[in-house]
Amino acid sequence: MPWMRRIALVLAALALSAVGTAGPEGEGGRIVSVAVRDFAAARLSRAGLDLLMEKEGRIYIVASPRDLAALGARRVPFTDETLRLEQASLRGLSAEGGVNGAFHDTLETEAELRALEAEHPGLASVREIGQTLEKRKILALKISDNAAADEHEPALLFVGCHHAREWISVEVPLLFGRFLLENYATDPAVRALVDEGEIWVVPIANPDGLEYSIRVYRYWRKNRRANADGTFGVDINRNYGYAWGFDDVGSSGVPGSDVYRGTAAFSEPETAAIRALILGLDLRAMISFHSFGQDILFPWGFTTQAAPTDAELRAVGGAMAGFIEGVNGRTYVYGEASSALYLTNGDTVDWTYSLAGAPSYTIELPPVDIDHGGFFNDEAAITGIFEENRPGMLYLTRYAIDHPRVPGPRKLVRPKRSAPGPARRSQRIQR
Amino acid sequence: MVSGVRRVVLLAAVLAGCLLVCVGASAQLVLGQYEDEAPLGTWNIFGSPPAPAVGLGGAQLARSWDASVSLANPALLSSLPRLSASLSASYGRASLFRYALVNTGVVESSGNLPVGLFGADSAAVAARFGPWALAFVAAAPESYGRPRIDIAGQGYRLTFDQTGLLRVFHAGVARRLPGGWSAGLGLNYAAGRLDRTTVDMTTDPSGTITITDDKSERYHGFFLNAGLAWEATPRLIVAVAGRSPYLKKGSASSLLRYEAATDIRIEAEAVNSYRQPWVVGAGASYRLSPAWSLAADAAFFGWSGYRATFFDEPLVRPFRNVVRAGGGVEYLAPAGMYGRAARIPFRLGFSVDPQPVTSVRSTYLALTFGTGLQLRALAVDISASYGRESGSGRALKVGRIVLSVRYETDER
Repeated sequence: MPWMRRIALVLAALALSAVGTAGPEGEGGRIVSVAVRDFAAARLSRAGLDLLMEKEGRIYIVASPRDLAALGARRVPFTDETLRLEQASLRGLSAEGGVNGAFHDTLETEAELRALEAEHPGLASVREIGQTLEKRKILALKISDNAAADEHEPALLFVGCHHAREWISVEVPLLFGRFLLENYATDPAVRALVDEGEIWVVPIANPDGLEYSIRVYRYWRKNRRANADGTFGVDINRNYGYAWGFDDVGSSGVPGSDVYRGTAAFSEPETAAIRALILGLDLRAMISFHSFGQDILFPWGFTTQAAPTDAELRAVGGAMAGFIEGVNGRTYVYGEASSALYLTNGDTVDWTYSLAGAPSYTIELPPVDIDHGGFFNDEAAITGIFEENRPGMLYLTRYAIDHPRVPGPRKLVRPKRSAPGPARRSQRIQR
Repeated sequence: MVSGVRRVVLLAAVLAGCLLVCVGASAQLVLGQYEDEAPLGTWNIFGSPPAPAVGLGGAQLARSWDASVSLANPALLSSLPRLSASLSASYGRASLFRYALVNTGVVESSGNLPVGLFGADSAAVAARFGPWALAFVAAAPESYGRPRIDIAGQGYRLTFDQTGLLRVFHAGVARRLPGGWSAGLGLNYAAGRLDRTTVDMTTDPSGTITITDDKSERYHGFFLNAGLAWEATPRLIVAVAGRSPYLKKGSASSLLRYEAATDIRIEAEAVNSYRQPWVVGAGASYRLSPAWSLAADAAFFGWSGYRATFFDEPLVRPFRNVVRAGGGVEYLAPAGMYGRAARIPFRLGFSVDPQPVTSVRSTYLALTFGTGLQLRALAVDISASYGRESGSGRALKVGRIVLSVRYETDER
């Protein structure tokens, strides 16, 4: 029924605004869905119904009390979708319309997380893990079969937006959290992950920076620390405690630098909050989302020496790249961060990996290069980028739950410091 | 008579010197004071004082010169001649240190950045019919301009530009009451705009990448103002006046665009709102002699009730209530011009203008000066204010020169 799809596209937009404002309940009606087969059998296309959309084999109708009576008289089975769609549309609308379009800012993200928590009691729990310099909340969403309880199950962390301008990195972990919760009841594989583990989503590690990027300067990268020399910002992805300040190539001690590492490891409230969260978990794996480049990077970042479990990191990273390519043919290059991208020290994944060897990845999301948007992504591309990453994220979650780690910090064997050479061209644009 | 003229010329020369100092001074405000929607110079704007009022520290609640007084205290329309008209224009200069992307992480400056703006302040007419008086005023009391940024390097250019203003169209009515009282009421329509553009351009052999951030707002809103004045004695007038709170709405649009090999646009529209505070003030003017007089005002601004939403989200503006106060002394020197009697006013004033921002407790202390020429029906006044801020550590300054011309059908 191609005509139905065309109608659905138009009506869906109209219906969202109707649902988001007065709603059919205000007019005494409901949103109901009818199976396509039943719709055709009952010849409802001639019944003058207010059709909303067709999705996954069901036709959605804005039904007045008279329409509901007519459906009953024709013995057409229908499902009342009013509450579910209202919640979904309100949540969806909350990210629309701002100066950042369909991307989430901090308030929209909190609204989304609270909505997920309210819609999935028992499975979702929102925690405030810290507060930024500008008093914004750093929020985490815990997804587990008994989310409110501290069961110390195998944990995974998906974190976004260490770097303010990388807006797409908020969306992917956020959508993953929503995906897990909305498919828990119907997808056995998802259900197993949620039952056996605890999945933590921190969509915005750097709320202050994100707000500045949205409202003042799109290319802002760091947090909003007022440095002693009058400059602003610490690169919180250079502020973690493993190999912090190892050299001046992988980070900088100059406050004005885009890769300024701060005055001390974990000097920033954002990294301190993530540290506090992680140290309370049985962390089995993590992904820190960034953009751009289409890369899957794993430790080490601070040295070109291979990590102790390089083979495992490479195998799991390669598998994730394979899953992504299987979705739409898009290639993500995987490799050790220091070799595949550039040297970084004090970054997130080196630190999480150092704790117990948990597979830890930096995923540089699309686009592939600056000419295709760099830190910009089209709003319409958000869902597709999440969808291509989803299988890899599910794979990593399954893998991590099945592979316990030896707890305790690992000893760092520091290689000789190399003399800083000329900066590579790739360092002109830090990701 | 000759020595009198010399004294006048000497005084005028001193005041002219003061004016030049004011023009040369640059000014800046503090972090938070220059939020994007902040008026240039001060948050505390009530009415649109003409040059004589500016010369007296901004005192305008109990002393009237022309019909523009109706913006602050319409009751004083009763004290104007039967018919009067006025025009005011000003050159304002302020310097900012921290605003938008300047000194907040993107662009650094070693010192304060000045901006100068010239514009018409107000045009006003008033007429009195028996105990009634009417006035119509068009004024531009707020400007949102900022120092323009244009930085270019090899293969790189960053520009920032913000302009805007708020106009107020006012109709006022006043009635003289028994016992020396007057009461007045004004209806005001505010309309304006704010346009802000940031362009970030990078060029290398492979091409040019342009990132544009355009935001614009079109403001409108209604509010009332009212006042009472009491001529307690032939020498003393006391008055109270106030302005209702109002919602300044801004029809806003935003475009964030990336242009290179690909073209990405994020567009948005919204109705922003800025809940402006209520203001209430009191003032007094006292005539010491036919030549000497005093005037002083204090106005309370209820900024703690300020609320702003920007593209459907609340802006964080933890403001405090403040009281702005000012006053001054006026001396009218007799003079002659082409055989006609004239008067040359000399005014000196002072004002204290605390800002509502709480992140930095900032207060402007300003000196004001004024002079002019009053013929039988025509008066020309020029005044200047020079303010210096304390609290931010940046020694912010603000200066303004106002020129007013008024015509009256009969001498007061």
